[in-house]
Amino acid sequence: MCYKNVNKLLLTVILLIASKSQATPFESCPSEAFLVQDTVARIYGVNLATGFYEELSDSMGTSGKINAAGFNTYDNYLYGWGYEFQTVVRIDNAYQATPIQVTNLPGASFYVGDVSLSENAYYMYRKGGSYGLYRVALDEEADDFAVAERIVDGSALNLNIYDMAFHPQNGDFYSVDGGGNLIRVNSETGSSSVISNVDQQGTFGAVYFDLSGYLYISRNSDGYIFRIDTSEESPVAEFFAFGPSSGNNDGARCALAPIVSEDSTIDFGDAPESYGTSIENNGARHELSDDLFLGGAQSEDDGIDFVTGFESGLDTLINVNALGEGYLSAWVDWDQNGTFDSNEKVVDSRYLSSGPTRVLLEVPIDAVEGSTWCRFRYSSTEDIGPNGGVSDGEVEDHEIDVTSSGVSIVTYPSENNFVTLAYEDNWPALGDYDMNDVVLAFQTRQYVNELQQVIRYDIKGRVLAIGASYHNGFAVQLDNVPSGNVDELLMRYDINDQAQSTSALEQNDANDDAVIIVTQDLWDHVSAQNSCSYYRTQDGCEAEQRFEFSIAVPLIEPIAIENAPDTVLNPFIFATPGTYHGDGFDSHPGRGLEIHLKNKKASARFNTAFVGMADDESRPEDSKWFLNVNNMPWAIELPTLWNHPKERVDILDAYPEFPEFVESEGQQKTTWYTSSRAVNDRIISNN
Amino acid sequence: MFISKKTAIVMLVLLLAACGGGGSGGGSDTSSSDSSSQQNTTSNQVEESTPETSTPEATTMLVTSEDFTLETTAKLSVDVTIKALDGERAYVNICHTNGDGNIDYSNCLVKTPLTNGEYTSDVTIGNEVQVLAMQVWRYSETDEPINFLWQRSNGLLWSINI
Repeated sequence: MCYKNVNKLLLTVILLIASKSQATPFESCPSEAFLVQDTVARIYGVNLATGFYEELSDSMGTSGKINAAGFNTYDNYLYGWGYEFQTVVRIDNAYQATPIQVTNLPGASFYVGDVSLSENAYYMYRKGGSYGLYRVALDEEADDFAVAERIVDGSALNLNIYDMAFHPQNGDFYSVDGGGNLIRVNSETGSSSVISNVDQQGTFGAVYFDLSGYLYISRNSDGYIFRIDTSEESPVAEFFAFGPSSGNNDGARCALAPIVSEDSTIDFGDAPESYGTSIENNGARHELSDDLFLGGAQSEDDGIDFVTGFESGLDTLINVNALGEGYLSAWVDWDQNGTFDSNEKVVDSRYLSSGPTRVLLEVPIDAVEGSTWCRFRYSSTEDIGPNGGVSDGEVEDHEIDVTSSGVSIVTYPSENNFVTLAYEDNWPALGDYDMNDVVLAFQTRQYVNELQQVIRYDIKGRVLAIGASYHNGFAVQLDNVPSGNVDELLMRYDINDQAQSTSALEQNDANDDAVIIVTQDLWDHVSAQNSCSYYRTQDGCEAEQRFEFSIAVPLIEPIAIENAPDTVLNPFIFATPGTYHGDGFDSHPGRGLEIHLKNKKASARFNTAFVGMADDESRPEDSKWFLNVNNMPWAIELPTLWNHPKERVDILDAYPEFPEFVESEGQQKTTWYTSSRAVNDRIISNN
Repeated sequence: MFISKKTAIVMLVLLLAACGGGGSGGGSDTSSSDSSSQQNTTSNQVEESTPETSTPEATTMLVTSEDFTLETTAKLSVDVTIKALDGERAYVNICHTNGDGNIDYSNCLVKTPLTNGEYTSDVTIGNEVQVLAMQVWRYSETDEPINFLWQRSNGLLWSINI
């Protein structure tokens, strides 16, 4: 769940009312819409994105209705037709209506109107031959100020519309009539055209534009807000949000404002974009509320516990923690097509009271195995879909694993944690032991069937630092898993959540241990910024760039768990082919230069001629790899996210307990690597 | 080209000589707080007093055994038998705890169906891990889960037999 800030308009308004001595305009072009309702006019603020609304004033300085409202971007006042005064009224920032003495009026009331964006003028419309479309200049300096001028009579422009809104760019106004026809009217000539039928009928008493040219129409009978993309050739109405219903509705909005202001508090889902997670794609969104949400915090996805696995064809149990009474709906993308389809609704407006509730779901027998997404929505509104806005509650998106029945999932170190891999890349020569030439966060997952055989591995991680100029790739070997046993067709390889078109499986002999290439060159994904020499190893260079990888490696033949690699597997860096890797080599060492954790075996592509060079004391025949004469390694694994030493800071200067840990062979200072053991000004934080 | 090992050893000796033979210079940075380290020391391991040796000045001077890979993890043997669940479908979660001390379902190590009420496994955990929670669920909207807690002071065998 992500959220944006709270709308401060109300506060601003209250402050302005408190200091009001005379009519003052609104301070700026507000992103919320205004809705005027009731026979004694009341005004409401509506967030069109969520349908959330609140009363701004129940006393507008009139005993009658106000209709045909519009926001004037030239003076930042609202205008409308005042039934009590039988003329145009100007509404200030305290929502007080003041009549304007307009001459040449036809002697009737108007309930359709808006203020132009291309000129300082108010337009109002009423059908019938005695009336029509009128223009009233609002510029007090103009000769025709407050004079009603008829543009076209209401028999020539004969429309069954209940509100109108000016387009922010093209100068025309639009509306949708009771039959669902989207109508565009040239305000200079009064000529009109039907663009399309938007496939929704009713009385659309409030219509608004946003800056992007989307038209929002609010239906009086049920309060539904629909969105229409007027730039399309044949626009249709898309359900957008649940708004307030009313028998008497009129809307006004500053069309130059985006629909979601930077100050608004809206909760969106966190699934990939295809599931609908932004205002642009009408994603699921909720106005944040203090008394209705899932879990312990509005801004965290902490309300749903998946207390059993998702095994195809079997039930699964989830634990829902809710605050406040509301309706829970949920969807799971069983077919992994990237959307929540109507037949993927697994919880249908289930009424919950505050506290924990267990919900039993059935996983379809044909659910596609692997990682997929689910969405939970909690609101006081019933029957909501997987997308669109609602005025309260919360949306939580979660990634889940669907497996065949009986499968266990073992995550190392744990689902929310990563181990840290830290490499010196000067092998076979000693480096400076700042252990930051390559630093990665790394996690593995092992899927084990009911016969205690491993059927799949997942690996994921991200780069934390590169403190070297050499170019290194990163790979993971599955020791004793033949390359030919990897189900390459079913592999998934994502970088920064984007599926990669290339295979991550290195094309080796089928009998060689499988090697998964994460990247040929880590420097392809991050860069040294500003005056930094490296990535995140120096003071002032801590800013993170995104390089995240996630790879699923299913196996063709399951491997007995006792023979299968586990925990950290065998991750290693290698010299990027065709790049310089020190003067110690006659030529670029390339892929054959590998650096592994101590005593982890090299791959089939390793160049054995490098064994024993410089400071290396590897003895492959004894399964002793990547160690020096003191038996010290070039790479270490830490079981948590580790704050790595800064450039040229020896690890023992950053972590003073390290020597005792090493020399006691792990018997002393066993938690030397934790944050509390570090010398703070010698490390870069990853926590 | 890489230099020969003999040359390197000669250079290392010279370097050591230049540094005063690996003496205790620069010790101020390495004098860590023993009291704080004692708190986090696992009670199943015997913390020896710091030997009277010189403090290494550089990692190049550190020596260890060829089999010690500097691993900072341990294997926790989990052995679960719940007789009441024999023949019934159930599910086991082994997870970290959150700030409130409750099981954290966003941060699990093991999620597994429970077969005949029995589960055994070796779970690799970091040396810093002090507590893990286990929750066993029946597939029912009304039954309460069965809860277990492991603490480092319990040792590296987590045996449940009820």
